[in-house]
Amino acid sequence: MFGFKAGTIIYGIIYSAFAIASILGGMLTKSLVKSFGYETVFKIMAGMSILATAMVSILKPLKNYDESTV
Amino acid sequence: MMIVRVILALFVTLTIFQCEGYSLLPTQKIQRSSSFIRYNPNLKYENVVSQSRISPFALKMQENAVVSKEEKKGLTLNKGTLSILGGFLSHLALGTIYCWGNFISYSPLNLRFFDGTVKSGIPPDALYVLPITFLAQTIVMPFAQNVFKAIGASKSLLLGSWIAAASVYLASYQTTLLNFILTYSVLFGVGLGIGYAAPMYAGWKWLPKNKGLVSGGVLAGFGGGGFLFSLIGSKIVNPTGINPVGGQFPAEVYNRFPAMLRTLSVFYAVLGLLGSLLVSEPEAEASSATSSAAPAQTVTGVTVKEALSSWQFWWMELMVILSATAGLNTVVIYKQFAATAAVLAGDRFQALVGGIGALFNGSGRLFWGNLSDKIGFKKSFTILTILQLVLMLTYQFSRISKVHKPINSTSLSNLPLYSLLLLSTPVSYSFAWRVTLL
Repeated sequence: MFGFKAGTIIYGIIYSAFAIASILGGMLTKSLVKSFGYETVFKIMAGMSILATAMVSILKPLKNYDESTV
Repeated sequence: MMIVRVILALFVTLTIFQCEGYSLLPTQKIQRSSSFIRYNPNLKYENVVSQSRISPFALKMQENAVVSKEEKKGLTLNKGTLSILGGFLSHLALGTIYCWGNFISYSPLNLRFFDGTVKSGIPPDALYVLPITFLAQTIVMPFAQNVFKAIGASKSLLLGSWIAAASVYLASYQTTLLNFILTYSVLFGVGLGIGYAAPMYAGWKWLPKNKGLVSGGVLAGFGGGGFLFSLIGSKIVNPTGINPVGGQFPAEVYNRFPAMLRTLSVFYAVLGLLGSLLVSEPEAEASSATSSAAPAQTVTGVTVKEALSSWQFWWMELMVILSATAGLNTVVIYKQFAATAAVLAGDRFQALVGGIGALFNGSGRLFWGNLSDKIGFKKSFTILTILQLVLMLTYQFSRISKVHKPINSTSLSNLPLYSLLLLSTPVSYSFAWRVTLL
């Protein structure tokens, strides 16, 4: 999508999403398990997954980079 | 022996998988210049790296990669193969990052919460050990290529592996969760960030036409390490397979936790040393070739500023957060979840489940990346997230399984569900990496 020109740095920034996701998952579990149980946590993560599915469907290549594809 | 056979079988399978043409890495066309083979970064990549985190650095460094005449003498293959083997061995240690999901249950009670107290029924603060490791790795990764250039791949691998091993050793002496995280998470993440790409960087130089083979062989170690050391760790800390009562083990299990970490750290250090000794680079030829080869053409793509100002970048960031949370969180909490159901009881069983999940973690990176190469990012990401959706909605049913499993057995009754779920963990890495460079 962004090409190799600055791909390393761009990927490095996007990689922060995994750290965020990991911390978010921990916070989610800690705040919900005692009150609602694991079932609720898993359902929320299911909802997040389907939201990601919906988001990828409208992802488009960059306009200012001709070789950009998704 | 069975464990060793499984690891070797996985290694061989992935190697064959790569050799059969399912390249996971950019199949770059090469431009011959006098007696050297030099990458031309401007030529279009036929495939794109499907593996996630590290490869970006290595890819950038490939622009100056050179292969010497030794290839003609048949030495390249040997040294390249040794570099793969070295990477495999060292990644057995680095891949233990995912063992925490299993080890967390053995950690002493004073390492569960930041305030050192014991709270029942509440997920522990120790859940943050893995996320902080990722965070540290994220921060260090951009600087790893500078380390490679300064001291070479072999020494970088040794440095990274030994930092990781030292982190585990030092963590064994910590009595508070904060200090434990500073060592086991932060230091380990630093070591992981430095050492992860080093063997691939070296292997790609020796075998530029077999990058898939190189990364596949190395990553087999990453998945295998999580599997192997999850079981070894459980065997050390809980040799008789005692099951927790009310979510807690007897004191004797917790008392063995520091010794387990120290023992494992020795394994990690030895594996890192062996691995780094096997990894080498054609450095002399590289330096001379760099000066004589034709100048590289411009690499296409957008700048960082252009990327950050596009909505697609932030859209992707959010997509990754939403899709990765499920797998990353489940890796850490699966044992606590299993503790809520009698049918999932059995410490050995749970350790085995986590280990198999780690195997899927390694192989899943290859599988989903290849699928993405074949059918495209959108379709494969859609399949992944829908699969993850189904697994998340049905995960709870594993604790009301009708299959009888005696306590302390290693019944496989619930393994498919667990393993498939854990399979989803690494896929977002692959996708994010691939779509970034497309």
